[in-house]
Amino acid sequence: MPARYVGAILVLAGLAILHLVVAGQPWGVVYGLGLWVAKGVVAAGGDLSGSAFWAAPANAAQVEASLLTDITSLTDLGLIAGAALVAWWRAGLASPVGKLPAKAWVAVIIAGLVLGYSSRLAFGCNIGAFFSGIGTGSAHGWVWFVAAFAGSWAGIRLRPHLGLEARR
Amino acid sequence: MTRLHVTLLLALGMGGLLLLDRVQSRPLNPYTAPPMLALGSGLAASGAHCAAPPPAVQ
Repeated sequence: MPARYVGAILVLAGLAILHLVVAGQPWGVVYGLGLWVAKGVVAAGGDLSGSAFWAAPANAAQVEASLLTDITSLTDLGLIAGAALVAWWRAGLASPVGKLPAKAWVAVIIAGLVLGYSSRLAFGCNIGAFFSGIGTGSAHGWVWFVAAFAGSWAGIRLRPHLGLEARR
Repeated sequence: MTRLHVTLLLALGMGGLLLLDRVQSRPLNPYTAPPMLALGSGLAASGAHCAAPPPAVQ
């Protein structure tokens, strides 16, 4: 295994433990994204009292509180800033965005929405449910892994047909 | 389109989100802030699972 993989694994494990020590909960992503949408719905005049999830006292209180008090939102903002930082570091911000056909853009947008929705149904994404789930001894994380592995197998075979990479 | 455009769009989106949050949410109160380190603070740990289900209806 290349040394940089080992380094990445050690950094990930160290940061995951640090997150648990500082925040009192393992790393997660999707709750924050759902919270941002819930706040948007409230800002647009929507009523969340009909949602069993957002009407639960802890979640309703978080919708009223600042995003800066939500651990998951803070790590999400850090994740986005980190992605921008790596884009700058690896190839420079002046490099062009990859040219993709229109169907690839449509596929990516639909896939993103499906991923977001399904990760809420699955009690988390590859971070909260899989990485943090398995890291904290949850059997749910392993069930998630089996389902995601099957989905990834199908997704990789779909990529050339959707214009996301050259057909072989 | 370059990565700079995408990064600026992202920054604009995040800035807008935080601005909306500041207008809409309760102001921050440093006296109710959680401890700097959860470990050893006595706070109960909570789950990572991003979509924890709501409590069962009685």
